[in-house]
Amino acid sequence: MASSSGSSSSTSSSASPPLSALPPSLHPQQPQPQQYPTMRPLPPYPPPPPPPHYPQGYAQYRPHPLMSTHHSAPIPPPPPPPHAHHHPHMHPYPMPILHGQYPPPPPVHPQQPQQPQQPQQHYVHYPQGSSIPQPRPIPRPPQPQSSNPPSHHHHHHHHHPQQQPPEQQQAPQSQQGSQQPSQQGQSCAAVTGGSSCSTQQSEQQIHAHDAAHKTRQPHPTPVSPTSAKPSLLADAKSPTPLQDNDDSDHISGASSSTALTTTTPATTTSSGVPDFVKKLFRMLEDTSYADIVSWGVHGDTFVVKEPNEFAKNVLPKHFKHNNPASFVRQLNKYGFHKIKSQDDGRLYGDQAWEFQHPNFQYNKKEMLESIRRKTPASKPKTVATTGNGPASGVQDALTTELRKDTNDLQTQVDSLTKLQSDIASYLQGLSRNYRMVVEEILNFRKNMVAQDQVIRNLVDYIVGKDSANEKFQLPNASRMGLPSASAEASTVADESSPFITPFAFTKTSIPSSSPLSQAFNGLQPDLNMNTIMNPSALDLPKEQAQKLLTTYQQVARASFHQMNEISRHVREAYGMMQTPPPGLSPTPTDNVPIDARSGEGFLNGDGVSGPNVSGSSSSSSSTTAASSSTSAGFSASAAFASQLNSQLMQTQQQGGLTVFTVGGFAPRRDDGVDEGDSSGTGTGGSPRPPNSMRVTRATFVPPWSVPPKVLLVEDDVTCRKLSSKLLQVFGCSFDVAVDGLDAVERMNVGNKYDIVLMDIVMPNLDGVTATNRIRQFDQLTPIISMTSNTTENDCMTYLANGMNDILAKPFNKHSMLSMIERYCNHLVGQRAAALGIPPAIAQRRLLQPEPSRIEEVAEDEPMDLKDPLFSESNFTDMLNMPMGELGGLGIQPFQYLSPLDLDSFDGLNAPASDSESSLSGSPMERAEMEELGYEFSGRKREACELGLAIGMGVKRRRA
Amino acid sequence: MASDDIVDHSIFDQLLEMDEDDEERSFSRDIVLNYFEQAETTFASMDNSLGAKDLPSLSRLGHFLKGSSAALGLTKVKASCEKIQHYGNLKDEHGSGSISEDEALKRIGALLAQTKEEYREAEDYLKKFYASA
Repeated sequence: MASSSGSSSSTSSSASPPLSALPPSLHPQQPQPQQYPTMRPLPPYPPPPPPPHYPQGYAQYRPHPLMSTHHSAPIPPPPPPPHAHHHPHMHPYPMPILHGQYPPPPPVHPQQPQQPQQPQQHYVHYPQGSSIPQPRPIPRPPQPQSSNPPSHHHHHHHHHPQQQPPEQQQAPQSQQGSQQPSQQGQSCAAVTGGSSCSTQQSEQQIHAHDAAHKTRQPHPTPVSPTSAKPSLLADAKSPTPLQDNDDSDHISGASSSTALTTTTPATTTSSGVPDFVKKLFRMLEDTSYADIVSWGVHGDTFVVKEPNEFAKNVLPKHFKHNNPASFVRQLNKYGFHKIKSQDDGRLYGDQAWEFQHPNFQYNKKEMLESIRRKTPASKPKTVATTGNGPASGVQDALTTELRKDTNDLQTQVDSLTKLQSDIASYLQGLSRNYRMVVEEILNFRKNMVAQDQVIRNLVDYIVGKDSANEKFQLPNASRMGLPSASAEASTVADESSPFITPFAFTKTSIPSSSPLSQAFNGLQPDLNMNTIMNPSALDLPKEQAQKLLTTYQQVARASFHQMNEISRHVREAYGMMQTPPPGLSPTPTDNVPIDARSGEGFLNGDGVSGPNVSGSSSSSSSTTAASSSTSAGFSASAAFASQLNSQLMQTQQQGGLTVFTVGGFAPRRDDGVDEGDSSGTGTGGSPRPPNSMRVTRATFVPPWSVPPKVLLVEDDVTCRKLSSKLLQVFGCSFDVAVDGLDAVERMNVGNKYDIVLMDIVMPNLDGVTATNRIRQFDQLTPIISMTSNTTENDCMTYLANGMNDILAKPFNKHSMLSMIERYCNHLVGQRAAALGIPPAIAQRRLLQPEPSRIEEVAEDEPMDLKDPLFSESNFTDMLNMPMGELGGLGIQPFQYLSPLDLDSFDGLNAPASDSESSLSGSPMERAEMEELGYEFSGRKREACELGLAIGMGVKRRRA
Repeated sequence: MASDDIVDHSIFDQLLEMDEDDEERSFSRDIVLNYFEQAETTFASMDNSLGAKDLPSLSRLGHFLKGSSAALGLTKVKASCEKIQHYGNLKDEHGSGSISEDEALKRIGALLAQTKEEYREAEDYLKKFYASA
């Protein structure tokens, strides 16, 4: 012990240069190999829900175990690094959407155990990838809890800092330290060599946790790490020596140095005496000041007899200052107590200070080791580490631990900052969302008003007919500025054609003037007809009124659905609203009863011809309706329908959704009637070939509100067609690449996809290589191997090259859909992100948005209808705005105008829909939405009820 | 249906399901016709490669036709193509072990003829199906 302590004085001083000379670049890199293997962003198989976007932040929230035991040491953390540059979520809005689904490297993933070579593979990607946001060099203490059973070393390295505190409290380091070498049986040839090695090693280990050190490193701040540290580490880890060594090997590969890690305590404990204590001891050894300062009479205290003289003459010599207060403060820090005993006080004079420390005794230098700073809160002056005192190890241990505490604090500050920004952006998103909802409501309202108009016209018409018999006056027609097709009312009696569809289009067209309340009342089955009808309508025969009402409800229903469809489709192809194509007009079967009633009892029965604005002819209104048909309302609506079509629905054929999404509503073509004269225009004015109207089987409702963007990479034409068709059916938007090269290029030019479906065997560039190349610049996009080669080896290869999953060929609809759902599950997250909900918050259920939330907001902020935001032109502008621009504004256009979002209003008063019963939406998606507090009551519920609910809600609140 | 050993209807029906029109079946018809074309081309290429003793090419072609055959549910053709793929890789029909080049060429030669027959069978069946559709 004595000899080693002698030698260590030299080694310790020689050990520090290499330490400080460690190139800073070493530090960030060394820890990474330990961390990244377990953190590769590849979702494992099967993948977890999209990794938390803000995993660190929240994880860090949990108090570090150390924190609870060492609450005494809150050092002001070093100025936190400028987080704003690191955190994508600090960016206002759109960023999380892009990156939300697959967060940058740090997220924790259970490692796939069967991929031995992965660590290196992926390690290559991350640390060097300059584009990647600097991995946060912050230790993430809670990871062991939040993550899983990852590789041991990862686990361990979080582990051992936690072990330290108890160790230190219990174990007098000197004894522990001296036992180490023999206990562990680690051979250490040269103690001195060992000390330097272990110093380095300990540095590495510290850096593994102490990323903040990186920021400090440039400063020559004499942070404590010295030769003493190894002893601490060795001490602290003594219970798990094997594990430790194991892991050290993993860490740096520098096993030679790790082997020495545990061997040095003997050398280092001797130098562990704090500098201050050493100086103090030395000062007292110097008897020339005996009358100023000296040992107490019992040798267990020391006395400053002449404080003034002491400050003036002694302090400067030994402590290089003349501030007694500082001296006393230091004493306090090291646990010295000032003795105030009256008796003894007189021994040395009234002015004398007497200090005592149990381990500070005359001639017992070896006890000095045990003198430790009480609070590791500030950097001791002893950092220079000139001494050999065994106590310095302890001190450094404290310092190390202190640093960890500091880092923890800093981490918490970081996460707080982040949370704050998350919350801010969440609020931002909320208010944006709110405005969108309001817009939607207004839109609905407008439509309802328009409907109201139509029904009024209808009633007027009937009333007028009743009173004036064969002459039909349409008082409102001129008011509506629409060509009043008048009363002579050609009779194009076409019983089979429902007259409903035109209404669906009318709503957007007719200028709104009548009160909203009427519109909504009209929808309420139990509401009195009187409110919507003219007074004269009361005179109507009751059954006619009843029929009218029924019809109206149908109309309204269809119309709502249409709006819903519109807002949904607008998202996928901006600007071009999808004409609620076939879907809008209720299926003939739905209509038959109504038609019968309205036709016979109402229209035909009265000798009035139902205008032939049936579904199929509505858009071709020019042919039938406009020229010959009767009511202004109808012709107006039909005219508008076609107008709407021409304006907004140019490209509706593009979207793959049309037929399938609304399959439930799609009418079968009424062969006998329309085929000839409707001249190829589909129901609802969609110019699709007659055949395509016929939805026979493949009715599928996409589970996502935002169509996933898929890149299909497939060289084989057959498979390509099939897959394309499936994607189309699934409502995905997709690009097709014909080989790997094509795929890489598409990805490389910045196309963003939610998922890549990659064939493996392809000419030019195979899927594996293509994936590998893509992974050079894109680590996030899920790439799914579509292959029939699914041996274990193949799969290993795929995964090792950065593919995320395997879709075995031949796949079917279900396997493909579930694969897409699995990886586009993030569209839920995206939806949340669009709402501004930080995924971490969403996932932690810190927020539970409820339908009532929106009500609250509405109460707080009454809608300002004059707000330009709500003006029609504004809304139209938004519709016409290119998607990109909207994105630039941080708006995901219409993402949250989806029917899904509106579903949350179901609880208010919507009766179950009759026309669509199937619930769709993937379970995962649903689960997540439910987590967010959304109630699912059937996403396919007809929009009319939703709109009604909203409308009623608004009305109620505004009343 | 007796055709089940020719066409796996659990797969093929899914294809049919995607037809939007019952009468024309234009989507699946298109795919199937396309497949015919592809198969013919591939068989021709296989013949060439066999003549040139180009095993890698045979393997690739086998894989290629395997994919589309599988997509249509043409089970037999798919299975045979898979074997060709393996033989081309100098593996046995299960994709393991290893066989000599000569052996591979010999096996492929025999198998190719069989595959073509299986294909004809499937083609007939499908053509009839679409003729009646």
